[in-house]
Amino acid sequence: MNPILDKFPALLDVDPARLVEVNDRLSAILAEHYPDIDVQPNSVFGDTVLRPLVYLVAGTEQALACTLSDLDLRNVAQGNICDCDFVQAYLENLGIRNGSALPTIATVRLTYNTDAARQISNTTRFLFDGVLVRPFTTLPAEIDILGSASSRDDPDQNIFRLTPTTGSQFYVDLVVYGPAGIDIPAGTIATSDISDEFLDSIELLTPLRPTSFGETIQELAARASGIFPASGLTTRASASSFILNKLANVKAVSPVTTGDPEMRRGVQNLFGVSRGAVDIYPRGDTLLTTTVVSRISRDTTAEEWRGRIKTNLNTPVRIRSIRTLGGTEIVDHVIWGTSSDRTLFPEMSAAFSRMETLGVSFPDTDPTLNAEITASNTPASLPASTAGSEGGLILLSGSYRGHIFSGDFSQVLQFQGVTDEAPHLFRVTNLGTGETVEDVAAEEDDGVYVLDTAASSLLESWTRGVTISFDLDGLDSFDGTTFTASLQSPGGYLVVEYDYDPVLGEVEALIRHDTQRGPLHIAAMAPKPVLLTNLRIEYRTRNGKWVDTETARQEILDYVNSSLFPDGLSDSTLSDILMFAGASGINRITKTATVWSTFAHRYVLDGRDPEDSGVPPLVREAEAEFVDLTFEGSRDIDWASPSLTTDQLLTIEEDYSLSTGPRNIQFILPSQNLTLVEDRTL
Amino acid sequence: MRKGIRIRFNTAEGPASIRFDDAVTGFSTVAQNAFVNLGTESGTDSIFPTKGTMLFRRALLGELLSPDERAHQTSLAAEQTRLFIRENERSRARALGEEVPPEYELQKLGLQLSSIDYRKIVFNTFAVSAAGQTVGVEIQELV
Repeated sequence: MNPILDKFPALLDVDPARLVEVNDRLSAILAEHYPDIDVQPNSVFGDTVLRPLVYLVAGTEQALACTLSDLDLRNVAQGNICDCDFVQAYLENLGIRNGSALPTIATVRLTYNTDAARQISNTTRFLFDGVLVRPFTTLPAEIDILGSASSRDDPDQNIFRLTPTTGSQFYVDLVVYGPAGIDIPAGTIATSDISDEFLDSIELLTPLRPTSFGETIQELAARASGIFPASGLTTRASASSFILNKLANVKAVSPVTTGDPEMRRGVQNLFGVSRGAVDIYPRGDTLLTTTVVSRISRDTTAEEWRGRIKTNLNTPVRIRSIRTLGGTEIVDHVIWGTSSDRTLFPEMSAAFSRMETLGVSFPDTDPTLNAEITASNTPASLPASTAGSEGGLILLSGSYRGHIFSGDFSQVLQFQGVTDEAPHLFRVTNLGTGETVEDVAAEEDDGVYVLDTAASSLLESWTRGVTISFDLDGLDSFDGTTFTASLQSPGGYLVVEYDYDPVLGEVEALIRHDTQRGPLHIAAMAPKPVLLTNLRIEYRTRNGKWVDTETARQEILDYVNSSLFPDGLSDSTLSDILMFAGASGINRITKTATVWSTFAHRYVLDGRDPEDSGVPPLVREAEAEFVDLTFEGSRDIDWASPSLTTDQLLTIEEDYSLSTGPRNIQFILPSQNLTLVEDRTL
Repeated sequence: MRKGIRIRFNTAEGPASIRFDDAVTGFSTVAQNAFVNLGTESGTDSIFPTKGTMLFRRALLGELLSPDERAHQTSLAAEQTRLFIRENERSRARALGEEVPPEYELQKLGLQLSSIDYRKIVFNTFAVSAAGQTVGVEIQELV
């Protein structure tokens, strides 16, 4: 297809005005440069040379004007199309075609009553009130749902993990897509073609909202012109319009790009050349509250309970409580944080994203609390030695102590020799989670081979406190021999209640699925919470006037709980709401809040327990008396100015890639923290 | 001096032929263009809607048999041609920022009946510039 030649008009189709104009132009050029040549109409040269040339030039200009018009998507969106086939092919180049849209994206929760690994088809059908939706995954492959003890999920590989709740249930949230033009509320229960007797329910977490992505070329062009102001997610404007155009549940989005003070990470490619990054901070209109149960270990040596908080893909923006199963709140706890991908998210830059792993620890000195937590398990002593599948011996000593980022107090591990000579290497598989650590070395020490469990932070979390050795015991090598060990610490259950925004998972699924990444690394993160502890509005009114405070309260809550940069919390908007509700003026607006850069009290930069690594963790300033490596973590603020200034937010941490600024914060206003005070004058 | 390719009329090669080594110069270019215009059927050029005349069509329709009608049509064709040539010359001069030189200004265009029979009508044409040059011969006696 040649867009110019294909549109070349017949002589009679060339605009006569264009022919005259081109003729005048060419005649003037010839007259200026070759005044002696007769090119007048009826002359031989004029009729046999100049005239065909005029037609060629005018036709080409007309075809070019047509093509340029078709390249302007705004023109096409208005219905001015020269060549439908060309426009259709052009839009397909941009990835826009009939049916290419993902008109409706939402989140579905599958709840099971067993904590077991399972697999479901990528073409699974969920039926909500007769409307069919399917999983929206990165890969067109089966979806693996791992047990809750897995150390991490990997949605890029269609790997998810269960989250335990109270009541012996386990859930996984999946992003789904469905047809346009439907409206199904959150909470709707679905049927599906999943055959699993342990599947209790399938519930819609976020609504399926109607959208209006059309199918005509004009409508496709209108959508494309909104999505591609700068081609893809690589600029602030295009990232915003891309997300807002594709996801109806997203109310606001604030992109942070390289160059913004809030951007504290970049990515280096193989050649050490820095690429940029784009962090997308989306916001829906509703936070969901969920309760998860974590299986934690009791480390009797350190006299602490410790284990991972199982938030999985749902990034907490507000931790409401950490309690025992019996409901007793654990006040004296420490939250630990680490990045699960230190290449893309170095130091503390993973805060408030699914790439941040959170753990918890607290003293085990309260017998009452211990009794409420403990699962009444008394782990048996480790066997001194156990034979391997082909011979040889595995030798165990010590006791499993658990780990701040471990998902379970029970670990069943398989060790498989993979080399037939020194250095002896083993593949270690966690039979409970299915995860594997490859090529772990075992160094010879006094006739036995001691496994280097510190070689991997993941392996360390499975084996902490236990020394694992292997004895050839007559074998030539360990190659092909398999050993199994079951490690268990005293353990129990912890209940964590937190709020999260489900649209974050939907945006993540969209970014993973789309190919618009370009040369930048793009991540979706939850805006750092600014939890308003008190928003007090003192308004004036007069006798005989009625102020609709109910409506005003709801509008203020909706406004604050869905706004994002650049529309921060604005006093003038709060005033407008009250004025429209009938108030005659505003006396004062008082705001106090706590802003968080991370929920963690301690941060480890290498994923290891500091007791094992010997590297002191970063400590939150408020608790650090004699520690050098500190971070602020959170700050209480009190401001009367119309809007929050950067100075009042957390200082941009330069050392640990932690940042909080106007672009990556969100205000959260619980209903009970909003106070409207009336000042009624006579 | 302006130069164009000469059209050779009524030669052994045919009613009209072109030889690229044979040129017309000066006012003869204007005159030649005018003669061609007389014989061009109007409405055949989308760039110049006023180019050509209805003379040929009138002849086909037999409207040139009557002397009075013939006189009217030939006068009309001559005048249309003169105006067309004048407009083009003026347009060219404007593009060059000049006035039309008298030697290129067509002052008079004549069309006289030379012979008529059932197969053809032959007209004698002549052109006179504002500078007094004449191309062709004005016949004093009319048939």
